Amino acid sequence: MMLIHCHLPLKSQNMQILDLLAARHYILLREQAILSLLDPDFSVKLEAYKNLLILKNDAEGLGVSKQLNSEIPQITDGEFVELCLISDKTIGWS
Amino acid sequence: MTDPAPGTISNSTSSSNSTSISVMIIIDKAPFLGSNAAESLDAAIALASFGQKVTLWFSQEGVFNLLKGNQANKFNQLDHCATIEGLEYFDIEQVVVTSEDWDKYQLAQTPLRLEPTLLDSAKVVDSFKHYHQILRFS
Repeated sequence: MMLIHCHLPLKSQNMQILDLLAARHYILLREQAILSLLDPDFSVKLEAYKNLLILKNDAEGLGVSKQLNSEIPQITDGEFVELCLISDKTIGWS
Repeated sequence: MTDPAPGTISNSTSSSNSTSISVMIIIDKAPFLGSNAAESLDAAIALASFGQKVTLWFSQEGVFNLLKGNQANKFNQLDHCATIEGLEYFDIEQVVVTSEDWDKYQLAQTPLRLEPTLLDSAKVVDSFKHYHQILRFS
């Protein structure tokens, strides 16, 4: 399994590939990518991802952690590092 | 100087101080993830300190600068957002958010550092003609 981490606001033209990746891999949202979860254009699709994760520190820093769907796991920086180590590949996605 | 009518942006060129200029600064970047938002606020305060009439438009992800719950220390940054609460002391009283962004990001449900003026985006864009300068840092 791969870990795909996104840090920029998501763009609709990239969502098709991300949809395909999300079926089999972890998708981690960090920094500004987290804000896409508050955008109705993206949130419905993202919340349907089976292995969607949020970087807790960034959500708290942006002040939006309480607005996010509580069913999406928020992981710590340490857990992010662990996930990088156990994943077959780690890919930064923008 | 007369106050603008509720729900409008004043015609800033009508300032009684003929040497002042009117400036709109657009902040459309999230806080703490780069220096864009902080430097935009610095510019706004610097201009206002020299008597210029400043309007701030928090647009798109820039609206997250207004959230009371954001935490600069999580990103090891200085908290430039705290200055938003004191903007009125710099005579920056025009802080605008479009009603589209207000609804999209559900800001009504979130404690904010100040209450912005809500306007249609078309009205904000239409108001550009009243400003001497429009600044957007990229």
